[in-house]
Amino acid sequence: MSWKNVEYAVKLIVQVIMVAFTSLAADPSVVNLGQGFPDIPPPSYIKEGLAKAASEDRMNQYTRGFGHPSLVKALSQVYGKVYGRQIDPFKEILVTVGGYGSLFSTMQALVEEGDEVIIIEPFFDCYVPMVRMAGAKPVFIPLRLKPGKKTITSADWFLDPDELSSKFNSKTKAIIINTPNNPIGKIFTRDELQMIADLCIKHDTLCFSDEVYEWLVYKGHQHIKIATLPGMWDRTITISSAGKTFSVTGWKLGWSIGPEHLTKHLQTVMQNTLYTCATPLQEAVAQGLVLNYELMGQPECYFTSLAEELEVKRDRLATILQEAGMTPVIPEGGYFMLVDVTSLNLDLSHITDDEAYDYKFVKWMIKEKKLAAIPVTAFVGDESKKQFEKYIRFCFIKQDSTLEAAGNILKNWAKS
Amino acid sequence: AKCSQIIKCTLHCAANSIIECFTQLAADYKAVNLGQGFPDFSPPQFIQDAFCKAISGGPQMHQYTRGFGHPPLVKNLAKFFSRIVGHDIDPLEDILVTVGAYQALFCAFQALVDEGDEVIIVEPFFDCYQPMVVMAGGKAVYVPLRPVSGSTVLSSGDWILSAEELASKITSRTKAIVINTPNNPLGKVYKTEELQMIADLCIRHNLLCISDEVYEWLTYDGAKHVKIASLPGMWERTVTIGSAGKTFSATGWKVGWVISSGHLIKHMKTIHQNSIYHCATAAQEAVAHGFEREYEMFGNPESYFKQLPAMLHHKRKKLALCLQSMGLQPIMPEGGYFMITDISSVKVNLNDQSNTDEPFDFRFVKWLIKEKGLATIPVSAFYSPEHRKEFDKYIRFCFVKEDSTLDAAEDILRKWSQQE
Repeated sequence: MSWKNVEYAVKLIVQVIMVAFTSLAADPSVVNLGQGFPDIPPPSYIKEGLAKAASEDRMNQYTRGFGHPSLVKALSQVYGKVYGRQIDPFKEILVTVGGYGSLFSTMQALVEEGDEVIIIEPFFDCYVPMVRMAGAKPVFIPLRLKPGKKTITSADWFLDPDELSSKFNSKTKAIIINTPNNPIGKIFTRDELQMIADLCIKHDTLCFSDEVYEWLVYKGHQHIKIATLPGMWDRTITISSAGKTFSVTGWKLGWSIGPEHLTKHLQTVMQNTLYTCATPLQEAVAQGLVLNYELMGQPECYFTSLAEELEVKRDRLATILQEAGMTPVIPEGGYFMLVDVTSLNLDLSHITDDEAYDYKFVKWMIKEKKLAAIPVTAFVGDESKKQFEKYIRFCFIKQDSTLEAAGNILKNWAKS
Repeated sequence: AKCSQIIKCTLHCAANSIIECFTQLAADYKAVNLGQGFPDFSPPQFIQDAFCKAISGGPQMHQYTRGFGHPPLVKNLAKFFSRIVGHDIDPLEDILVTVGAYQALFCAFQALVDEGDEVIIVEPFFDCYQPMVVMAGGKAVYVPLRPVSGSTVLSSGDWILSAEELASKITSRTKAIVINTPNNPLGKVYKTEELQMIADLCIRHNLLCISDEVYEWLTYDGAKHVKIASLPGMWERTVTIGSAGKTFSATGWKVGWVISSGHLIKHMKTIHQNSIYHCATAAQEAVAHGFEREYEMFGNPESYFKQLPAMLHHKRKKLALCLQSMGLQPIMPEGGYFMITDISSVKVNLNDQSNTDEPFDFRFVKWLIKEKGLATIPVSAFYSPEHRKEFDKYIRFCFVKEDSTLDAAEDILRKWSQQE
């Protein structure tokens, strides 16, 4: 493994953390709409499931390395229904330490020195370091704003077909997609996914589809799995997260689903890196999945009810931001909202640090307004920074009181 | 299918899947399982209570915590181990919490081994070290522990590392030496003089030392676990790995850690941040409480770190007597929860013509599972391919099991010896 790659990687991650948390750590009175995790409680049955699992002797010891049997069986059931195909629980599923661990296993298994991997901007910040750690080269393509549109929704951001096509060549090993997307909240349409699929098939490229926010889909939109498009099952690894599904990010469980000939390599990585994931946590997630499988399609199903709960929060935050004179990008999915801060006309030229505008803005906002967000240029490559530097990202999977506290800050801000 | 070069290399490392294979075979034949190394009894009540308390704690118990280690856990680990190592351990700089000791090993090898580096592994070794060295682009170089010639080899203490043989393996490309004390599968607990010999070589040749000490609390008959990191000149070049799973009999929680000098931990943090990033919060909270309790109880008879080895001491004796009565020669482990036994005196027709290429102990273990319903692990799985044939007459038993499991094994062995 080359140190050159890894040191570049650490610079990226550290930047985001530094911005978001240095001040926060010092000041607990800051309203945190920055890092993407809930401050709302997970469903009580999920916690009870963990307590119950932990009280069983066998559940405190090692389980099957590639995934606890009751969990992979439950996943096979739930996703068999979603995909409309039989999914082999032992050969086509790998349980990992969070969606993050799935991404890592996928990259280490399938990407190597000299490969190129296409990454769509803005992207979840770990993709680039992971591609580099595998010795490959990230190739960026930005989502672009439809011309003449005032940014009001994540659907206004699209991939230029010619531009995308130009990024594929004989060295392209894979393309990474994230739908619903963090941070924009875009949900790729069937046509858009078909366009990507066509290119993957034409160039014999793999697709790594990060779908951790798959259940957080708002009214009028539908999450489509690229793996279900013709010719794509055999070349796609789909990544999901228990943390995002059940609002338990601190459990760090995720899974990869894909064809045996690809999944088996991810399993080899697992065997040589961690060996197995925590047993009681897997058992509890299995129980949660079984419970919700029975409820699928009904309003009580957590996969549906969480999205409904979040849609209300989404709309509330959007209103708060609009009233403060900012321009929110209404997300079709996920639990983040991008905000264009151009109209605030905040002059930060007195800050001479060599940083993008959004970094300066967020630091200033944490310090002066006690409100935390994440700068969006943390999610793009150098060449696209100018395109995104007037955007900041808010997370809205927060208690109403947290959102109202943010609202108060923003209301006072608008007045001043 | 196209897979990365790394995977192509590790696929050749058959050893890492051996334990899983034999565990599956044991399950298929419903064998009494003294194979895979985990307790079949529960963790102590206080740690289970701590986990339950964490689960019903505030919402933050179920969300991300600090990536490099939950603050209460790293603080308690620093407090606890500073006292033992004799060095002020910085909780935020000198510790990384990982998903089990397994991931700690992965971070260590990835962070510290570069393309072309050589890593000396003392055999017999826990099977993951070799594939991890290969995955990091390094080359594994082996040096075996050897039973002292001329003595009736009865104890793991009789297996020693030759200073000359070890020194002869060092080249200009050697980056690190990997030791495991107490050792799996042998149970050897390295004495201070032995560690000093290794330390001298590390210092002279500017090598790192990766010290896997997951069984650190399990020592018997007065054997003392010594941390090589506590020897002069070793703190800054030693990476010490520990495991909550082995410490608190909760292998399924997958909480481990690395303790080392900040300048080495820093690189492991980078690997961790770009592979896993966070470990589960509630389990870390529970382990933090476990260490707090043990800090107060240290040296006390109620300390779990005294009670567990005391309980296992009795089981060790029970298993050894049972094997000896069978005419087998167990090697008494000074530490850990495994016991290896010489099976060369066993006369048995293995009836497996198709497998004659496999090492003898592999074939014997399979036969024992299928014909007698007793599962163990072949010890040559813990050796390099080049030394496997030299050490293919031993099998490994795990004794961290309920007495009823050990009794069931005893029944099987007694019936077998009566049939002979």
